[in-house]
Amino acid sequence: MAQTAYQSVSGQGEVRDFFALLKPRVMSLVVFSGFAGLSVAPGDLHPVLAAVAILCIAVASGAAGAINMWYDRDIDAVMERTRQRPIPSGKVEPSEALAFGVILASGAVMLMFLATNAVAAGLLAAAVLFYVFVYTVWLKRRTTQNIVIGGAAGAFPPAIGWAAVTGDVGIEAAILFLLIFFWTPPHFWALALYRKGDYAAAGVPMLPVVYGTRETKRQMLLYTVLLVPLSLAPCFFSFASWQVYGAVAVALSLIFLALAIAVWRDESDRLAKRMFGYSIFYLFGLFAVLIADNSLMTAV
Amino acid sequence: MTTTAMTDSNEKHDQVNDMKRRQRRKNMALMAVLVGWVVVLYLVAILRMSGEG
Repeated sequence: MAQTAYQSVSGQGEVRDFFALLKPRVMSLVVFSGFAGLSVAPGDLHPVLAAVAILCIAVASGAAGAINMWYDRDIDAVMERTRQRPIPSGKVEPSEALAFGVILASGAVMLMFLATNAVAAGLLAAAVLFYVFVYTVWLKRRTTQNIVIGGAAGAFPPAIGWAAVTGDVGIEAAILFLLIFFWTPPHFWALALYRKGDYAAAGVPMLPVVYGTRETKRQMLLYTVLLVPLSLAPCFFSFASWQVYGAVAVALSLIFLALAIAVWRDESDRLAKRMFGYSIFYLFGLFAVLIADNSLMTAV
Repeated sequence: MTTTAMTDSNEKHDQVNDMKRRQRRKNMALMAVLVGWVVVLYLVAILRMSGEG
């Protein structure tokens, strides 16, 4: 473990510091993918219950982020990117953050069960537990495959949204899960490429730190190649159309692939930053067009 | 009382006020969350009991 360097001033936290513990930027992508799963699922869910289900996904995701910040407070204090987070900057006490996260996660799972069904609540609980215990506690500081296996936690939301409507997990939900699962490595490793100094200083064995940039770029390209046909799976399984979703998915995926090739050929890490930015746009775009396409298919 | 002592006393007073203000804001936020929680539970219970879920 890296040496703890955070200072603590009890009770200094503002409301916005507690909000920052929820990792709002990560939460927005989680919420959107959960909403996509909920939108494309067959069946009806009352709009208020659907909104509650999305709220539960958002709160549970934020709670997992808060618990992650509690556990990683020592390395967050070392890394430049995370040094200003509420715990290492001394604005929120570690115990406050832990209690905040646990209470919110428990409340979100309970509310999901009351508003929808046991499958959705079970998946939500599994996602939080997986993120905290498998990714944060077990994998993050031990293996270069941390974000590959740990990425499964971030892939849960569409399946949770789907289960909230249908009460089960079908092949369609599994496809949306796999889409995020295979998107995570090129997304995270792009960040790790231009932040490898930070990760090295904190002793986190990210792929570029342990195996170097060349191997990282090769594996990023490999996952992106796999992602291209996978992004078209909704068309193959007939829950999206070729004309709308298929066309946009091909265009978005080819740009992603072109960027992965450019990063692979680039000797510097200059393009990695661009690929990281595009990867977020890519997933938002893919799910946005999936939702729009489904609305069109339902309307026709 | 010297000028330095008076300044220290004013600073301390400001700090206490600032802390109270922060605590009040947190209390209000917590109250809003709790009221929201009750409203959501009420709505969910009504909808589930009426077979809308």
